[in-house]
Amino acid sequence: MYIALALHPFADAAGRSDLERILFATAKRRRQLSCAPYTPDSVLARMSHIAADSKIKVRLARHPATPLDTLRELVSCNDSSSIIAVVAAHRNATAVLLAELKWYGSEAIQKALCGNRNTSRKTLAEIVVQAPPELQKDIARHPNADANLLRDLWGRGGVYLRGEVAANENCPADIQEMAEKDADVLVRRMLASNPAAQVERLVRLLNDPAPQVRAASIRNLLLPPEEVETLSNDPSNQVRRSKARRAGLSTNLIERLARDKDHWVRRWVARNRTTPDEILRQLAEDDIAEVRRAVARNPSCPVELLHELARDPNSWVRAGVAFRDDLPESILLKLAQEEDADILTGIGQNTNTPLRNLKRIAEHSDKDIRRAVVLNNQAPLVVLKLLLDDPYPLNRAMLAGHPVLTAAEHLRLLDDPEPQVRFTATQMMVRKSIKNRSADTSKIKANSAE
Amino acid sequence: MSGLLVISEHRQGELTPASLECITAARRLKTEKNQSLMVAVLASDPDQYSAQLNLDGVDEIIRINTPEDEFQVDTHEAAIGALISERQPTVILVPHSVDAWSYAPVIAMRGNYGFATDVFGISYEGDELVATRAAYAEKIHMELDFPNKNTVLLTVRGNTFKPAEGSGNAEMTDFDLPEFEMHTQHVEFIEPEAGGDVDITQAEYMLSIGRGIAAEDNVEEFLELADSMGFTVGCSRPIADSGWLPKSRQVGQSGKTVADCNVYIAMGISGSVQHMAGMKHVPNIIAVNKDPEASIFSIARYGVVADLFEIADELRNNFA
Amino acid sequence: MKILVPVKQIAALDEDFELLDDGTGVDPDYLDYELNEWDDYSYEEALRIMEANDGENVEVVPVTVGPEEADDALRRCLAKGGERGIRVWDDAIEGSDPSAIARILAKVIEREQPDVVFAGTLSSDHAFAQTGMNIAAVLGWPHAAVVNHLELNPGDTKATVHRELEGGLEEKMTIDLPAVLAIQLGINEPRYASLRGIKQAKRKEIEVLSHVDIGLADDDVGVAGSLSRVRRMVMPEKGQAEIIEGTSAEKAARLTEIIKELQGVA
Repeated sequence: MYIALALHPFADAAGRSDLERILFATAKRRRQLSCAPYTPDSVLARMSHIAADSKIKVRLARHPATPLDTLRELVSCNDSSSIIAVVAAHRNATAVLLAELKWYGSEAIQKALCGNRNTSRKTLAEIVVQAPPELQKDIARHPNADANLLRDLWGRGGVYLRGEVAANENCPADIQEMAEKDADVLVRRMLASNPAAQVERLVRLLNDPAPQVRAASIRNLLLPPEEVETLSNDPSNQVRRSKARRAGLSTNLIERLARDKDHWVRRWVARNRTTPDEILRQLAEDDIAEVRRAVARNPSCPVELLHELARDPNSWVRAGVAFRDDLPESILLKLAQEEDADILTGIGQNTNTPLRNLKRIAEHSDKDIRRAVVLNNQAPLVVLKLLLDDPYPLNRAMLAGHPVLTAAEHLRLLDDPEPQVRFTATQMMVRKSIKNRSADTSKIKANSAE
Repeated sequence: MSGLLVISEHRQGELTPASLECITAARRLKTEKNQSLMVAVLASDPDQYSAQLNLDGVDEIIRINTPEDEFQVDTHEAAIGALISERQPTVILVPHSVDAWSYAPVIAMRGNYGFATDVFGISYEGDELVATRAAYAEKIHMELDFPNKNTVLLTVRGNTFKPAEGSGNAEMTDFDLPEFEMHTQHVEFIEPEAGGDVDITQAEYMLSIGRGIAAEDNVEEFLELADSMGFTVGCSRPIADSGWLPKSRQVGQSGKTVADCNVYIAMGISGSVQHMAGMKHVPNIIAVNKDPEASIFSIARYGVVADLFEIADELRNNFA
Repeated sequence: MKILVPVKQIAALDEDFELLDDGTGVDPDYLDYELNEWDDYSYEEALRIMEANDGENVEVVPVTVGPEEADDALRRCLAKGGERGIRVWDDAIEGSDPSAIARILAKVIEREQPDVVFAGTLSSDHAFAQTGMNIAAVLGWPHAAVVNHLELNPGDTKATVHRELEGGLEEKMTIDLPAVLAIQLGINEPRYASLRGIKQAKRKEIEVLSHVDIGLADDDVGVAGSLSRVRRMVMPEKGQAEIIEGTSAEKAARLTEIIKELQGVA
């Protein structure tokens, strides 16, 4: 059945009906396909024609890959509000389709519409008139809610509702004024996180008495890094941690944060791509292993430091080095000699690891370490072939999708006892043959043009 | 023929709470159909426990002297089997404990008694006893009855009935152990090891992250959040495979089973069979996922359908 | 030495399953079959003993009670090791509870005369946790349940086992042989069958027997031979998760409340 499933999108009409005889043979299969994540949309579309069962229709309406046309069909042939509500929530439903849905009297459909990003301003404005508090909040956070809608909702009170209004990009300036002075921390905090807030407002919020508000302001990228300096030695850990995450801070401030007594602050500094090398060097010798590992994971970490971190007494720090794509071969080879599972997993996935070491990892007794080479998208075929017989089904299933495999390996995997493996192998074969066919077609075209 | 018999259990000098829960279950049956409520205690010194069993509603406490204090399967089977034969109770309640898993089925088979395990509902319908238990990983409840059985043995699910209280007026009696052979020998008890620093299998509170986390840079935020909440961090397989967290933190079939976990928060985890194998038994599972259809919700006690970064942000503010 | 391992093919429920109209069971259309998780561990334990005593002729035989589809469970075991399996079934066996199943398995054991029997502690469909010990009752053999560690070699008259008790505590004890042991998860790490093994398993012999073949009467099996009867099955009212509603801030506030309660700040 899985092979039929993989072939369906590529077959012609006659071929498809043959395949469908297999795919739709039993009610159990139809149910299974209607909600399986790997079902192609061509199959979903056909199912909505043949299926009379309302349970299947609901599953189809819910399936993320169901195309717009099928959704339209489901709506036009079904009165059931549960099916319509599910369509109303679907990401493939366009504003036009959504606007046609009859939502009056059905809370479920209204809720779905208010939560769907594609719902138009007009529809929201119609629903808001009699919307209960739950829906008001959903509308307040909707990207298509405009200034008028938001002003209306602000007036209806309720701290959580006001919070959503204050955070909405379209929140008008007069409402933002009020939000800034709101007695509730939540509302001021949500204002501070508004991606369209004015810089001056954010600067004022930097001095808010509540640390959550100050932290939210710092995290808002509209606030320029220089403004972050104005707060010296904030007593709140949360605020200082937020500072440590900002790019482009002054060396002075970074130095202070790198010596912070809270190790999370130091960790964030260590991960920060704009932290200068001398400070990274300092943090690479921190007492706390996680701080040192953060340096090892920093893309800006200088190579000399990597040599040092590759010798760290803590294996999790060394593993952080092993996963880097910019490792010099000397470090790679040294780490490849280790026994720790996390380090070997990093080496196995590292695209610069030499063949000899990859082979050793592909033949490791631990199934989870072996899997690392499957995750290496530049692993040579000779290494991957070692995993074709891997007893652990997951390893074979992941291998089947590897880009380096050729038709010969896919063919072999078609006989695998695991359905997931057979399915993926078929899918890969078909995709490749289509690519080749179109390459041939364009070659023919190019030739005939001459 | 009538009478309710509760078999009490003890370990390392303490009566188990489950024993008292069985007494409560028996008292309920007594109010439905009045009959004598007897509690049996098997120990090398039964009086160590008999006073604690003298609870409201208990009519008789039957003391049985055993050669050893620790549980021994043949002793239990011989003693309880003989006691049932002599006193002919209609219902026998035993805790659904690990020890009972050894002896209860054998007693039932030998006596050809009605039998059901792990029941959480027991009642009379007319003269018939009906027991309710779960099946298919708690997805279904089944009602059982015992046609033509005058004697029914039930093991009772723990933490379902409240432990009995109030003082009683029970008569203390003694019952002699019959002759029997022992085929097992207790050697010693082995205490669980004190946990090392990254042994998530002993964690009581876990915050576990999955694919929904999307990027390595985001992992730090969740680590920080877990830290502020006092939770241990775990993850699903893709996170460990990518090296974002050590394999020792992976929960699931190819990772660890979090046997002692009481609260498990799954963030951005869809709930593959493989992952659920490691945590589905946790009593309080809280699932946070953008996808309302994620399988994890089917085993969760609380569900939150939302953007996990927003939830994490908000939680961060509450636990600052 | 011969080790007999009863295994069970269990049913897992499909997402929106339905009950039969008369309420006595689940509509079979919604059942998926797989090998009981515990049986992977008990079979693995048997294979380890076989491999540890390579020269001494240890035989491992999986046995199951079930219709033809249950052959899958046997082949899954045989793909990992063992040369033959046994399946018992006929229509009269339908409706058997664990005590009836145990009676059937006990007859097979009498026929095969193994030195020890490894059962799973329970199965994940009904979770009765009875069958293993019921077998011991019928045979009159020594028995122990929830075994998470085992030391046993051919020729032993006793085995040393650990039982996994509540709260992480373990009990070490010895048990006379032959015995029935109910094996617990985590006693070992079950292997995955190699592709070669899976192919070879298809050709291994499975002996199929009826209840009459093994010397049982009609009322020893089926509903008549059982110690309980399923009156009906019902869907529990509240199996679902409590979905927390509101804005993200509200949800988080409610979560915080719940978490603090659960952490015993209550």
